[in-house]
Amino acid sequence: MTRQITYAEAINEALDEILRDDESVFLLGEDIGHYGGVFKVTKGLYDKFGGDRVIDTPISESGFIGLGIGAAMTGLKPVIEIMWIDFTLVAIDQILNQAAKFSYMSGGQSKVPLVIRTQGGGGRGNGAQHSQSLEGLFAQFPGVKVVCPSTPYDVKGLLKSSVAENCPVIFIEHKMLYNTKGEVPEEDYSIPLGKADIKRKGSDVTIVSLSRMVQFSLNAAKELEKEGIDAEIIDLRSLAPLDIETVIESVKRTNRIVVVHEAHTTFGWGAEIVSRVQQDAFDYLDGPIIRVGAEDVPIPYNLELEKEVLPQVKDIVKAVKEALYIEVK
Amino acid sequence: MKIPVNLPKMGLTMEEATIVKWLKQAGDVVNKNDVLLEVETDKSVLEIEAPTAGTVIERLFDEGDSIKVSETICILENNEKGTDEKTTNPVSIQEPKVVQETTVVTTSRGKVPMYPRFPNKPVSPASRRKAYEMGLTTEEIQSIVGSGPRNRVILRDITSYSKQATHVSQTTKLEKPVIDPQVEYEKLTTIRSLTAKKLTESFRDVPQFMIKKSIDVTNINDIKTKLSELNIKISLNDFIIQGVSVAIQKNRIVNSYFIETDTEMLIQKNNNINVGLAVAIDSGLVVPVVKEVDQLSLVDIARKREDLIQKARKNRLTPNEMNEGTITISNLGAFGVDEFNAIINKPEAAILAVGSVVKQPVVNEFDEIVVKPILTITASFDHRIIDGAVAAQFMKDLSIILESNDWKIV
Repeated sequence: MTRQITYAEAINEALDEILRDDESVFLLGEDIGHYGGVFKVTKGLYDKFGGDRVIDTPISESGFIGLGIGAAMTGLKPVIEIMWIDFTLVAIDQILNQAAKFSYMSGGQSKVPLVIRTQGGGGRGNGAQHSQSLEGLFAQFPGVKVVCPSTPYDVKGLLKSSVAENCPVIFIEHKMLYNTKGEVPEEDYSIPLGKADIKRKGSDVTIVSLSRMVQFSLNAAKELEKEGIDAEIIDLRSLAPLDIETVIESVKRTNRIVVVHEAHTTFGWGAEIVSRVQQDAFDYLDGPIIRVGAEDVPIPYNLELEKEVLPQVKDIVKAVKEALYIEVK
Repeated sequence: MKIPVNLPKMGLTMEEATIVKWLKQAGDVVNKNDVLLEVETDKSVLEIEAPTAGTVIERLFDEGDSIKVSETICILENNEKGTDEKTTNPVSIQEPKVVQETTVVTTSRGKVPMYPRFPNKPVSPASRRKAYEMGLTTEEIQSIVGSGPRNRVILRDITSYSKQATHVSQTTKLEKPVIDPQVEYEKLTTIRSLTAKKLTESFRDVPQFMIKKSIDVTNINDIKTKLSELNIKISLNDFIIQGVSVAIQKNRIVNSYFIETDTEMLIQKNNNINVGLAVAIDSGLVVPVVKEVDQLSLVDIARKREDLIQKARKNRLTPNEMNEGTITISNLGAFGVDEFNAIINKPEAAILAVGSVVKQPVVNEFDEIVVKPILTITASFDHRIIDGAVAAQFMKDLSIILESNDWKIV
């Protein structure tokens, strides 16, 4: 059996290998050096590669992302850590007005090979300003790629590909996944961006999700299996590029689809999937498409209330039954 | 660029058509809107036009062949550059013109076939596609009670329906006729098979009873004679059409439809009185409809009836001229038939079977035996909405009118 490591360890391993193999790569972020990162993702890298390659910054997201953009445009490959995805909003001008646009506005003369690693989502009672799921916001802007891995294997392979990209990549980890374990091979590998992964084969309904909601969907599939419902779980892995073909192919087999995301339902990226599916697979749909997402309120601090607001396994089970007309309204 | 020409859907229930005549050969150069061929469907002949100028490079069917809706009939080639569409990917084509008059026409557009639609019945998109692929008819789909919300037909209903159907065909296998190569067979025409289907449904589904009435047509004969002296030709049918219209106004229920949805039974109250006339033509039976007869004089009725019958004989009736009938008249008097019964033209509630006028001895009000021209009409009624007493009253009113002098001539 392949060795089991955690999601955080897999990222650490990927960063270690990238720093080792490519001298133009350096890390930038708050408390990532000596302290090793709040989630211990960069643990040991400062000692191994030194303060020139693993740089601690002041609390100034806009400033050091700007620094990273300049470095990227002039030949380096910065991998920036933003401690909480909520803080990217402080630096949104740098990310979306600057990094995302330069290649286009310079007619391709400038490239910004920049990776912004960050972590989002709830489940830890961190409150409204530390629990958001903003992947859909970034995916709305051409010029950045948006990656949201769900397993240790995926997070390592996708991070390696992200650093190899010649454009800005928003790499969104999930705080509740850092301690989850999974198989990661010893040997070198990478996973191309824009390739969805079918995490479970099924024939009755397609469940589309990413990040932490993939595990929730898999748990829901186990419960549904007891009732004879065979769910197919698609992990999109990235929103930009979006692998809609895998979703369409699946819907053509199952005729039913539920989209699950931790982001708020209203104007969430689930609506994009719904739109594409109804357009490209209309004649294969046997019922309306159901979305499962967070309630439309800021994420509560209280853990019990947080559970009420964020999608849970039971919500997915219920949505699937609704999609299959087992619970007819 | 190659342009496939596909059979458009020209009516809600249209599923296929038969090629009557090719007007263009392979190799012919055509202009946009040139008529390529004529097809026969739902009892009418329609023209298919070229969607673009070009050359006919291939005809995929011969005269007499049946084509399904959205199937490619022939391929044109024009001079424009572009990616050749595969013949399975229909492109949009010009709306075909109905020969006689314009009716509502839907064409197939886009790259996928037009799956049948059911405006009054919820059917999921996947079910529509599946039913199309399985070749289920509109009637078959209409008969399925859906298990989804608001009785929406969903995939599992279609698949379980097909299993039922397979089961039935297996158990009844032995009773199926065997085709004997020694015997001559002939395939039913489109009209014939449609008639067969409709009448079987009516005979099976509609509980019908008949009422017979003998009518003295002395007055009608007198009026006819006087009018013909004035060179106005009115037939007995025209008098019966007007008589029916007047009798219906006193008994509106006879003008209704019986409608059964998945959940309830309804009487559809029709405001217009539209009288269908059964006409025998070479390829079968058609029923052109004289519409809003209550607004028409005998002269109007005669003119419209004559026009419709001429069109029927030339096979040129449009769907519009054969729909919305509320009652039907079938007259076999010309064949010397004394009297007969007719099968109701569903969803109408009544049909009149008209025999021939025969001179008969009749006892008059003075107890004298006199000779009178007597016409026998036998009417069939749908017992689900019309009871014997109501039907009898209608027949009584009809006979009073037909024996009267009270006519709206011009």
